Amino acid sequence: MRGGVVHQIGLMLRAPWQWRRNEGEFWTFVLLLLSLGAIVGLMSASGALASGRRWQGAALAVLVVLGGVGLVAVWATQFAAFMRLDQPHAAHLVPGYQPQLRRTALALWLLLVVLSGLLAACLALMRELSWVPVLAITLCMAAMLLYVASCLRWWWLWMLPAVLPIALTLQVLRPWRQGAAEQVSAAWQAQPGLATVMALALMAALLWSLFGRGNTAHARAYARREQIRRMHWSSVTGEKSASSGLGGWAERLLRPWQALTDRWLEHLLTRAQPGPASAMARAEPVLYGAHGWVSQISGALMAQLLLGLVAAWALIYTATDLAAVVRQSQIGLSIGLTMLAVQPLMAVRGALWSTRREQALLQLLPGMPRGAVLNQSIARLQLLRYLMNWVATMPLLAGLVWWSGVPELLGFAGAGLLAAPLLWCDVARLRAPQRGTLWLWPLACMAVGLVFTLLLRWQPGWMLPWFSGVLVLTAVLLAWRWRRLAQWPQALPAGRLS
Amino acid sequence: MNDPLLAPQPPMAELAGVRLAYSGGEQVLRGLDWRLMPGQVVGLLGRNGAGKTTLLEALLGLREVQAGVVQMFGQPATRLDDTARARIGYVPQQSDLFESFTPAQLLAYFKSFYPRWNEAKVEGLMSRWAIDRNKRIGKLSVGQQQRLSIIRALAHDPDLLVLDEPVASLDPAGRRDFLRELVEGVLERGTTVVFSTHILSDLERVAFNLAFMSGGRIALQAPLDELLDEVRVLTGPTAEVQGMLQQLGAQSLKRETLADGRERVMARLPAGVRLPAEANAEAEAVTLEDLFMELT
Repeated sequence: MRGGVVHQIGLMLRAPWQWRRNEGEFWTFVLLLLSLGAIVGLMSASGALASGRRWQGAALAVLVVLGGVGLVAVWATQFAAFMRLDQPHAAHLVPGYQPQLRRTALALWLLLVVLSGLLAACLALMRELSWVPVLAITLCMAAMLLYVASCLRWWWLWMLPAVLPIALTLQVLRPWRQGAAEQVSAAWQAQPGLATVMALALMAALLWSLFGRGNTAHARAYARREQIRRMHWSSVTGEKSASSGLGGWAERLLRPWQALTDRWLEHLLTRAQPGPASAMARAEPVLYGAHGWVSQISGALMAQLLLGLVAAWALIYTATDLAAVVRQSQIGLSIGLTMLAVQPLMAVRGALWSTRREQALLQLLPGMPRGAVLNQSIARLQLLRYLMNWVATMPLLAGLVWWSGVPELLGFAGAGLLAAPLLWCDVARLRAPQRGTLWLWPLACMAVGLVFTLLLRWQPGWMLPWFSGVLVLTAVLLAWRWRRLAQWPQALPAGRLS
Repeated sequence: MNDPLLAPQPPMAELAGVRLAYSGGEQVLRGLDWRLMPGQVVGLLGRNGAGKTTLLEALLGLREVQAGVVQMFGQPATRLDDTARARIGYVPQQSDLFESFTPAQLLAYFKSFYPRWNEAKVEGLMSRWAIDRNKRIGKLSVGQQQRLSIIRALAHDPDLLVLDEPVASLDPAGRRDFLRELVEGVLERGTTVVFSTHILSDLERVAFNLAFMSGGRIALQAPLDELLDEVRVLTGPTAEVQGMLQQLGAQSLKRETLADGRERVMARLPAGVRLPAEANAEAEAVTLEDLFMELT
């Protein structure tokens, strides 16, 4: 080998950072991590203060949470790159490639586990705890890193935390669960050190097995992962969906959406009129493709319906205390709903960018508005679908507020509303969407939502003035942008002046 | 004492009785036998969907076969050791480059794994093919990505080079450059090369051996010159044509019955045998395109 083992490890570890630099996203990614850190820090600080800790305790909690989240973020970034480097041709044909990739992943995992152990040890020293909780925290962190890696290998494992706690409460599983818990507890209490070493060894073996062997199954799994990566990218940026090659049940799952969109297009075509309103309605499926309002809103409603069904099933068949689950995960659920509500912020620009060639064709069609009228028509269309999407996510948020009895969660809804004017931009000067930049707006939205939530928790009586203020501010910003967009060059085709 | 120079050389790769079907049940390889001898340059020909890519993947051990044996350098192709891996270069039909790297980063990355790396060749080809070293691979044109893929496969001076439609995305100038490189830089080293292509003029320039794939098997493999020299299309009364084939000991490759008791047979004559001048059947020489159309 021309490069030593350390050199090869260095090359593999550098890959994700080199990729981001090559894609011009390095600093955006850093900014994204910092924003995420700020949000997590703010959340943990507010949580610690709300639970009655003093400033010193709260600061310690923030440091520990940020440290843990930072380690997970670094691991997720690196392991996602390892999964892309786990390429079947290279695995089978490049000498020493696959063992080296596995060793690199294992070495990084061990390093991060040791770092989390040190973090836990600092916490133990400051709070005068024994070494047993340090081992427990380290083990939990190791398991968390393994879980993140497994999710990057099999995407559907992301759903496990939502399903597993409910499934474990099933009556059938109760004896098994109890027995397993007793055995684990006994082993841990008898020899915590040995139990930690054994568990770490088992996890290392599992991590080792996440990589392919350069055979047909590996090629198939890699192709599927790449397809999902592209699909995720297209769903975030609004680009044309790459689901056709996905095959299997995932493709079947998307069929109802396609059928719904087709039916809507059919309806538009049968009722077509020569005027600009009808022309714009028919242009909408072309402009936004798979991210048109029909699929967007039906998707939001379907997600809520599924959640409702899971909740109903859990209530009927398991012993889950759903109110407690909702109370514990209220912030997470609210953030998820906010993301669902502001999703068009990410999708609209990407969709306009990816359909710019079709837009040139649209411009030649009779009935299509032009100039400032076109800009206003597009702006109206976007605002309408954004507000419809926002309203579509409200039933679950309202249910959450009612169930948890925490009205300040509406702070996130306010942030979503306030973000509406961001939809309107100078489309003619649009640039190719970048992953990192796209995430900045929703993250900013989450941060504002969190600030609103904290404000309303601090002053519950401000709910009405706050909501009125958000409405007025949104209206003022929209009016200001509306005047600007009349002065912008004709919107379509998008990006022609960039 | 046996002269080691005269001893028969073991094949670089060997497939025997290979069967492979996709999950839908469609048989792609049906008892295929194939041998690649050291220094051979083989052009693999077959219609779209004939299974050329599947065959090349099975040859390299990237795809497990359901029956039969696939060996490379005397080892099972699915379990190659590092020494064997270092002797293989592969250019797949679909780009397998990591698109977020720059070409310079990608080459540095793979260089660290190979015991041998021909830096001069890499530098020469990068300059000659005008590949921007610092541009993200995903932003290179498809043709340039293909060129980079070829450079990556040639960089460690492999003993066996497998190329799956290597020139499909290249313009005529790029194809000519690639073929020149193949002839000058690769074949001179005695490298064994197998490549699939649809561009027959390229095969005429480079491939010394042609393998025709049809019905999940290698229907015929022979040197191109021999095929052009020995294969003839005989047309005439059935009895006359059959008599002639028997008399000459010719191998019938494809037979077509015509009207009025006549037939048309594509046949391979034994080396050095000439058709009798007084024969009642018409005999035509064939082109590579005729061979492709009739044998695949």
